[in-house]
Amino acid sequence: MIDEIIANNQFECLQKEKEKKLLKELKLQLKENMKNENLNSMYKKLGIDIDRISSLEEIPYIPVNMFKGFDLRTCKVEEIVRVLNSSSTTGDFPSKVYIDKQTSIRQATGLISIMKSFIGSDRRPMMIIDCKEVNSKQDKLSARGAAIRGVSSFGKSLSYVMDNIQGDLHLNIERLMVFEEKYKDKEVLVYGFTYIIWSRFIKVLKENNISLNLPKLKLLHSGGWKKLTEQKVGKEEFKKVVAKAFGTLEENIIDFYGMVEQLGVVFLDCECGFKHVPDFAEVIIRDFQTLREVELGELGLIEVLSGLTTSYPGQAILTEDIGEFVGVDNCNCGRKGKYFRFVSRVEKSETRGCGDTFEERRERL
Amino acid sequence: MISCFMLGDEFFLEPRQFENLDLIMDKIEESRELIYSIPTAAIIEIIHEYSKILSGKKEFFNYEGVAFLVLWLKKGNITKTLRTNFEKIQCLDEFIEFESGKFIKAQPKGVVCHFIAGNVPTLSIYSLVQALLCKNLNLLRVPMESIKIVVELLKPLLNIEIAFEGKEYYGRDLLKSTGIIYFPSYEKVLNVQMSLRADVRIVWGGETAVNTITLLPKKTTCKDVIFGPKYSFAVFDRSMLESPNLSKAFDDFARDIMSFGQNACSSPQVLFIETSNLSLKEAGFKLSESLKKLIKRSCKASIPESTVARILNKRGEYLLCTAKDIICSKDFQYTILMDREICLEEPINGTTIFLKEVEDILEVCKLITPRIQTIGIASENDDNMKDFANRVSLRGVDRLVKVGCMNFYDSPWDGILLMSELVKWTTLNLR
Repeated sequence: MIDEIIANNQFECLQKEKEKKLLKELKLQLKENMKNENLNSMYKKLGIDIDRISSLEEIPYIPVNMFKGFDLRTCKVEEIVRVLNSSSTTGDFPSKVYIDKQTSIRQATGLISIMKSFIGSDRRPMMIIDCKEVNSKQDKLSARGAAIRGVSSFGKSLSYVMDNIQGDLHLNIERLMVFEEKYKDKEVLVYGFTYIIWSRFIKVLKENNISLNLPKLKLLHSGGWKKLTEQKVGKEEFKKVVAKAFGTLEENIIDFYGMVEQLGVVFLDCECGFKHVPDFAEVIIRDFQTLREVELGELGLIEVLSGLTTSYPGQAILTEDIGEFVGVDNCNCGRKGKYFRFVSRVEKSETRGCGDTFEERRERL
Repeated sequence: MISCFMLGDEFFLEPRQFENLDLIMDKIEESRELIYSIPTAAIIEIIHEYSKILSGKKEFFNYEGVAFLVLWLKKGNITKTLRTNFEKIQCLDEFIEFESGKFIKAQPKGVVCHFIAGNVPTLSIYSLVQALLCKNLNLLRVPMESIKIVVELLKPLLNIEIAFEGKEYYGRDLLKSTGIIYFPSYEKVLNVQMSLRADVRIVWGGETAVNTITLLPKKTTCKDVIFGPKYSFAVFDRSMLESPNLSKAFDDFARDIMSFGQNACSSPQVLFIETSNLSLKEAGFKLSESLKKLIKRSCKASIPESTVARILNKRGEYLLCTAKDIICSKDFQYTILMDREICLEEPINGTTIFLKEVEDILEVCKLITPRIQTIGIASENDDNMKDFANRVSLRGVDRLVKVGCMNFYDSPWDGILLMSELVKWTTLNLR
């Protein structure tokens, strides 16, 4: 049944009905997770009786950082087709997410079902604001590579407009101009990481006084807001500047939220500026103090639940991202289910006074 | 820009803004003679009166740490603390003869600049009162999160009037030698100005703050007193774990954990228990019962997001790891993380304690560094504890106290007798 839900049109199921269907599927998957000794240990310590779980909120979640310290594989080793690694910009170790064939197919199907609702299902010429090497054919893939691989299934004639020169990204203006000339009147797709678009693409266009003319594009971008927030660049300004640079409308610049640990579940901004949850997944915004689901309009930690995975515990992952619970079933865009707003990453630095860390700080190389 | 919340005996509802420290220091300097002229015994009386006012108003007890501060400010305790620092308190008022014809006096060092940390709101009062007892002028840079509490706590001094040996003395006159200011720590120029004014720099804070401030230029005669980052933990030996008094010890220890949001340098982060007839899990349950009782009685402040993230990650680790165990509330009221690894753990805070079982408490000796401040002890065997204290203090521990008293401010603190650092010893030889 889950495969049917994944393949169907998304955002059509009313919340109550969806919860019921999803809970049944996720409980079956949780039982399979018990094959992993770490997950089994967790369920035992929490006193979880899977049969008695009566709501999605009760499903035991895995803090996202646990993928860094533990091998949370729930399939046989020989069934692994790929290992995904997070970018590890904020931690010491990258996440390891094991993917088997079934998970991989479901993730691809899920992604297509979501994207169809936002950009249609026609494949179109695609520009990738990154270098080719990031999506190399290896069995290990970075978060950037995984995102590109996912989104690129909606494109054809892929054109990578950045070059990797000694580990640094440089815009290849010539290649960019060729793409513009060739597709300026056509519907095209552009994808890039938010921070790379801002710091390595828009900046170079400005320095070279280049304005593009691609009015029929849809530009999808994700990740990297932390660095932009530090530079006091907000979402609205980003949209405005990028739309102007491409000669298109701001509504064609679409932010999406996703993570390597929940590949296949992406949250694109709808026409009203909110992120919607597909029918095969769920989002619970949990209160910082009680960990219960927040009321509408309140902020909390974003937990992403999904029925896509058979090779790792993707059923419930608690992120370190903060979201606002905006509404259920009633967005003006017409999509059903919960919708929310991504706010920021959890601020991890704080002044701790004389009760500082135990370790003497060491100079970082 | 400097925001000044109190200058001399004036409190500002809206902080007064100053471009530099000149006017502030001019004002404080005006009272150099005044504070010097007040006898130490009169200052002790004013502070005792101050303690009475604080203890008489319920609203002050809403500020964490005031209950203990009130006891600390009492005449008996202040006199005892002065004696620990100076033996003969009169040396603060007059030259006292220590050998035939040879005299000595503890003169104020001058301007004491206090760089205060934000984790314990009452810290400013402890620091200031000791500097005032030594008749110094004071400039306190207080973090924004606690500055309003500090100002409210100082206000009662304004109306204190005491009679001593036929003369009137005023709390207001103590305040005249003091300025309470705030400026952001990144304001390098202001940091340098403050540092250059100091005859003593008292620095309370974490590693970054201490390293930043101690690198600032200073007078060649300036004395630094550093209360830097420290770490604390506790031990329960077998005699206590098998004693009928165990529940009380856990109750006391729960208080140590929960005070000051577990952010103080004296807050315990780890509890080592010796192997006994009580299993690690049973000890964890007993501690959780004590924490739950205390949580029921106290209103717990909300936990910062960063602490929430740390707790969630540690809980995840202890849930998933087959060799570790955990007892925690559904929300963030308490978290007990249990294992048998003999090590100290990075503080998580938010009522999160690591509970570790060791064969013998002496095994923790190897963990001691000069960064360890307090070890809370629970034992029914004083001789064992003396032996333990001897061994661990050699390696760096500053204080060992019974559980329940870990966060009680005391002198010496961090191994330093603060007031003895706030005077200069002047000799007079008449022979």
